[in-house]
Amino acid sequence: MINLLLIILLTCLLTASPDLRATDKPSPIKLGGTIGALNDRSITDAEIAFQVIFNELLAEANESFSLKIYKDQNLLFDRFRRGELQGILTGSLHFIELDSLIHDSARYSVQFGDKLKQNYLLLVRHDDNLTSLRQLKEKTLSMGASHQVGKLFLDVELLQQQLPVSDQFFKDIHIVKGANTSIIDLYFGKVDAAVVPKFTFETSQTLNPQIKNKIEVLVSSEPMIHQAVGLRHDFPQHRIDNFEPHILTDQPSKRLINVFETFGIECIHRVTEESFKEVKSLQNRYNKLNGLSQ
Amino acid sequence: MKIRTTIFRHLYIRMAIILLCISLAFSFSLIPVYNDKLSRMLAAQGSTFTNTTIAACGEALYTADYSFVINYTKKVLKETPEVTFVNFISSDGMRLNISQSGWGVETVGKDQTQVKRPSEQPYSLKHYTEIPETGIRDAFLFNKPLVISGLLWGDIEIGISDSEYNSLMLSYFRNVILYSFVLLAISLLILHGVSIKLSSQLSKLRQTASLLSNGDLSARAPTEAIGEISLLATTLNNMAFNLETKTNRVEQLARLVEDTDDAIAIFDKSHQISFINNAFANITGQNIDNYQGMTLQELFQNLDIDKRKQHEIALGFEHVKQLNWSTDITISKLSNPPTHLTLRIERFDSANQEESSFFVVLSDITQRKQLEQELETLAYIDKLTKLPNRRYFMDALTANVKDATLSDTSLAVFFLDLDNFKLINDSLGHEVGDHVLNEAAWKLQDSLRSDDIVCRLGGDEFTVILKNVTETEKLATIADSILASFSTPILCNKRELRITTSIGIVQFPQHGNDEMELIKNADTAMYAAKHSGKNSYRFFTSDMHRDMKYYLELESALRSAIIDSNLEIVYQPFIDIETNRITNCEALLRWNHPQRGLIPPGRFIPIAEQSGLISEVGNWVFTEVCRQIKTWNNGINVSINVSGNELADKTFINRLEKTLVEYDIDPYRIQLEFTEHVLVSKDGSNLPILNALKRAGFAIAIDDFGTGFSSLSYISELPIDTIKIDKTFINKLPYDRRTIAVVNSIISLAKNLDLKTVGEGVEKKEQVDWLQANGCNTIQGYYYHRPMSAHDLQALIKPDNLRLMPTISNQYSKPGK
Repeated sequence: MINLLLIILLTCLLTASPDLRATDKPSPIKLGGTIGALNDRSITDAEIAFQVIFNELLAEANESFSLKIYKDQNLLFDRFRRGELQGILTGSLHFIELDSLIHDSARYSVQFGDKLKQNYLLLVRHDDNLTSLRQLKEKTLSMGASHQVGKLFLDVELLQQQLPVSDQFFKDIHIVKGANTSIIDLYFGKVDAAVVPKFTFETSQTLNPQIKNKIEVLVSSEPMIHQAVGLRHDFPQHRIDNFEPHILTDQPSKRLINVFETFGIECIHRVTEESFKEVKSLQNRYNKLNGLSQ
Repeated sequence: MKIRTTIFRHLYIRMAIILLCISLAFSFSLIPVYNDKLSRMLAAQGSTFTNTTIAACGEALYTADYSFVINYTKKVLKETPEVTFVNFISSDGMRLNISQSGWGVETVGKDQTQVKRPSEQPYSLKHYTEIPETGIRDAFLFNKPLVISGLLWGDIEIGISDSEYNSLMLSYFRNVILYSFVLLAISLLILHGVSIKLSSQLSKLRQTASLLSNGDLSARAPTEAIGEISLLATTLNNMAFNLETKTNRVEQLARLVEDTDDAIAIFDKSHQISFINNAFANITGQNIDNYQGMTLQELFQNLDIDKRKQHEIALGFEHVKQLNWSTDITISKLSNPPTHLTLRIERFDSANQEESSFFVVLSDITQRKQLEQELETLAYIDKLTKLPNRRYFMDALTANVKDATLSDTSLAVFFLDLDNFKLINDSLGHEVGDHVLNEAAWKLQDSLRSDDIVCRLGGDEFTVILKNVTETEKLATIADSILASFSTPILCNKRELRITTSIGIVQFPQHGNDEMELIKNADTAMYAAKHSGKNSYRFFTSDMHRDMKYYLELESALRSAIIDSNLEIVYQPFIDIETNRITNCEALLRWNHPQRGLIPPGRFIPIAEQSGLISEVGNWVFTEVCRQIKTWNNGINVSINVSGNELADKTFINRLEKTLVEYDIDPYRIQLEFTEHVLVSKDGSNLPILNALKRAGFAIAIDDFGTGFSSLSYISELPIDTIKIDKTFINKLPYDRRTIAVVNSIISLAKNLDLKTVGEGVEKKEQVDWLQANGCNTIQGYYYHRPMSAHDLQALIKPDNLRLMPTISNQYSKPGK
């Protein structure tokens, strides 16, 4: 009788929520991310910097993160669904798809540039004298790997002008590692157009003022969130409450500022479902237009 | 670390400066080398970077994938902050500029597409204060060809910040300076360590020099030192020694200058007094300060030197080209009587008389002048008696003879000689002798007139010049007066001394035509007075010369006889009346003159006594007798006659004893015979020496007893052993009753006093018989033996033949001794 009670108790302890076992330091929060979320940073840099610098920041909260960047997005999503990862860092479209798995109180988006929601821009060279999308038929396009939202925007624009989607419209689409690369390829004439977030275009102009003179915006989207970070819905709230103040603060510490600068982050925002309405609207328009075209 | 000596401080500072300069110079000289190395390092860095970039971006450049190039390059630039930019310059004129802050593309002329590099260098590296067209300041521009797969694409340029270069250079300079100072510190420490000993030795050297400079000339530096310091110490010590020696000498001379009695004034080149010694003040009686700055002229005026003398001095000093010049001056101002000085002026430097300084020495010669006067006075004055001396007498006599000749007047000369003065001088000492002479001088002066010239010729001789006295009677009266004056005793040391004088008198022109003849004749007359018994005077007669001549000849011959042993002793035995045996003998002196023949003792003994030869004669006799006794060795004693004059000799007894020792003769073997008047002197002055002779062991006999007027009671006090009855009594025996009574009394007295008696000059048997019958002990006379030679006497005296027959010898012409 007693033995049975002991076994039951032990099982309860083993199966209890993590916070019951957390009499000592909790296990690191495992995050998985896509390359596109790195904003042109290298995987290694991101992983190491995230774990070293970010975790130093959270040491006070007795929490830590571990980040792994997955080149295979499907593997990423699969592991998240299965709970092997407690958190995910991905583009907005994928984020919306995983909405049900994500904790309502643990949804964040990183602000790159001056605003959280950034416009996507279709850039062309001045010298090409392009005034409409149509002129880009059979041209080459460049865009970053993480910018599905940007592609969605372009597709929607094309569909609205009764043009085929980008995969069919352009002669070749170069998926590059980062938006800045798209701009540079455009600058040097390797491609005819590039889809980049506005802040990237602004940054490149800063880096090379000649870009301003040589590249122009053909089409611009409305501001929207490009990427987001979320924790699984079953992640303990108290832990969220524990580390969140260290990340979401109006007065970031010096260390936090260093971390942001390393990744080019302006700040981190908590986002809600509402934050993604533009992306959802764009998705809906795509679906509607693409359904019509078919 | 305190540096004690300035030389080491000096050395340290210079060493420091030199070391630093050398170090810095060396370091700066290495700058190009270091710079070259840095450049090579930068070039290597640049090459590495560009090579890596080319390797990474080569394909992208070739495919114009500039985004890759830009992204890669930016990433690399972020990781290599010392690289400020990378430029890709294509051969076709495109320049892609990439930096951390951005990138850009430019079109450049084809002439700029290839940087001119020296052909041997695959790259160029140049420093710019501001790299053209980039705005990059203080950076190196590294450029090298960009070759992709063997094809020249263009050039790649990178900007390398010179901060590390500057840092390295700064580090180099810092290290240079640091090492320089460290090297300097180590060097100085080593130098200090090495210099401690040197410093110590130098310090000791310095201390010695300091002591020397402070006047301690005895200070010496230790010579046990290193190298040249030891030599320096030795040199310093030598210098100190010389300086000490010379300083001592100078001090001595300075003291001499200060202490000398001579006044010294030193004149400088402007001929003004610069130094005066104390003697100057003593001589002049003025303060030394009064003379400072005086010229020679002013000095003379101050001393009130006669102007004529001043002129003489000025002439002598200025015109005579010589180092020194002197003259005697007299200064009346200083004292009364005047002060006599010798003034000597001497130049210090004879080379330039115009500019040389000189000194004046004033020597007080007042005393010398006085002495000269005194000497001049003494030349005519006898120092003891203050009477005019021989020189004065000669001059005075010459002058008076001349005057007398011219005025046809006469004068007389007395020549006086004190009787027995030598005896007094020898026996009582020269002090008494001088007193006697002084008293004699006074007596003489008291006995004469004031205008009579009384002189002392020397010794005990005096002369008197009496002017305008012609009568012999008057002169005799004066002479008597002198003799009477001398008859009063002289008191000296509570002792009364009686002295007489013998006077020779001559008259001018009777007794001589000139002074020399007068003196000679006066002397002769004086000797005549001596021979006549002394205490008398004689007027000169012509035959005195002959007697004098005879006397002087004998005296001289006697001297020679003593020296040449021409004297001879004969011996006359004494015969014991009872036993008829020879008991002893008497030594009798004989002189066989080579020309004059035998001279009796009665003739030459007085001469010996008068001439002072008696001591030599007596000594010779005693010595000869001792020698003879030693030769005989037969037990015969010898009697010797001793002159009373010999008793005055204080060394008499010592001489006798010395001779006895020399010949190893017992004193009792010798009997000394003294005449009655010698033994029984009025003042008894001979008694102590007689007692001394007796204590010495001699037998003493009174000779010629009965001829004097001595008191018989006095005889009992004499330390005599034998009475010798005079021949004058023996001759009258046995017939003259008074003589018999006298002789009996003598014999009786002798018996009562336990004395032996000897009858002298016995020639007849009846005399022998009477003497024998009346108790006389011993006979001496021709009845038995005449005086004989020592050889004959020795033959006469045989050990077994003591009984002698009377013999009468005709060997000697005169009877008696």
